[in-house]
Amino acid sequence: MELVGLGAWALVAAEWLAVGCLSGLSWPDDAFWAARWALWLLSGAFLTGLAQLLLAVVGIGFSSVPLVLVVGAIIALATRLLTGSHHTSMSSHHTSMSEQLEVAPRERITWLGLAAVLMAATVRSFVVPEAGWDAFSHWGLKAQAFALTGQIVDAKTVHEYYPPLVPLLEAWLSLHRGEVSIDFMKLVWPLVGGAFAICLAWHVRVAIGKHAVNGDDGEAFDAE
Amino acid sequence: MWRMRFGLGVLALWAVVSLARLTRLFEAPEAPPGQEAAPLLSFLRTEIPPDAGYLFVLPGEFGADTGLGPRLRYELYPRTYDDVRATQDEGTVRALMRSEQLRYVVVADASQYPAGHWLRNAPAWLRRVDFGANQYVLEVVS
Repeated sequence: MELVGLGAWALVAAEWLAVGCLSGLSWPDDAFWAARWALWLLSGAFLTGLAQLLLAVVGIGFSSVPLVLVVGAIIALATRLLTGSHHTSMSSHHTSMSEQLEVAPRERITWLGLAAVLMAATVRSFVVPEAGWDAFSHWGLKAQAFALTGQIVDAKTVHEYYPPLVPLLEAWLSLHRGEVSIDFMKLVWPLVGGAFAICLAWHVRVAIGKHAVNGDDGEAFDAE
Repeated sequence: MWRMRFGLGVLALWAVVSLARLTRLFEAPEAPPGQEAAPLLSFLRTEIPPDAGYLFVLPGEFGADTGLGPRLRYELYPRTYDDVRATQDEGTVRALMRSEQLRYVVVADASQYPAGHWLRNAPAWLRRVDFGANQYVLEVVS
């Protein structure tokens, strides 16, 4: 991938992180930085997609990146107010994994294994071209139509009734790059998929940790 | 207690399946669908105006497609796409094209159709524009 595309990809990741951070959504207890960032990225992607959807519904469209970000930030702040979430990255409540959260060596190895798998998947997604029939027949086709028009339009696919979040996220990346390419648009998925995997793993950790604290077979999991 | 054990069992099973599927990271990449028509795409974009509609005649039966239809649909957007099976007779296809206001037929590889097929003989209502011997566009002229 050329430098401009990589910059657009990084910018989208940073925007989603910022919007997610602004929403104040956080894990119930302490979480190390990757889990917090993953949650912010996922929630930021969703809220940005929601902003695109709202702007499309009212007829303004989402061609203007700054406008979408402003609306996304407003929705994020509203989320913060409604949920009463006030934790941010600046809060001393959150720490890096190595600082305050006590992590057993076996768990540390598991996290490193997950990180290695996600890195490998990300690298592969950058070098392997899109080959999915569904990507060409509707997901990528819709994303192309959305990116070219800045609106949610009828792309004449056979699955127009599918919810528009997936193509909206792909179109968002395209808008940053300034051109449409199915191989480039699919690169939102290492971000979203990686964040989802980390959130899922952290969720499992929280669930297991809760049982461990309650004394349910806790010794079996090396929970702290 | 039993819920905890059940949950852990599911997690363990999931972990085993995930580990077994790690081979996906190292598999040879699949070719994009309809890759055989890649050299033809810029020709098609030139010949078919963006506001026009085109038809693609799927050469095989259901289940034997090569993915060329979805590939054409994506690559030639915003041109209107429609498709029919090769078993459809010429009269039916002509009526469909008229009702759907489709002006072009894309032929990515004529050798995939039977020798006597109407697509290979270019009937009088269609004008043939060649890219190659077996790759061409048919335009409705009457």
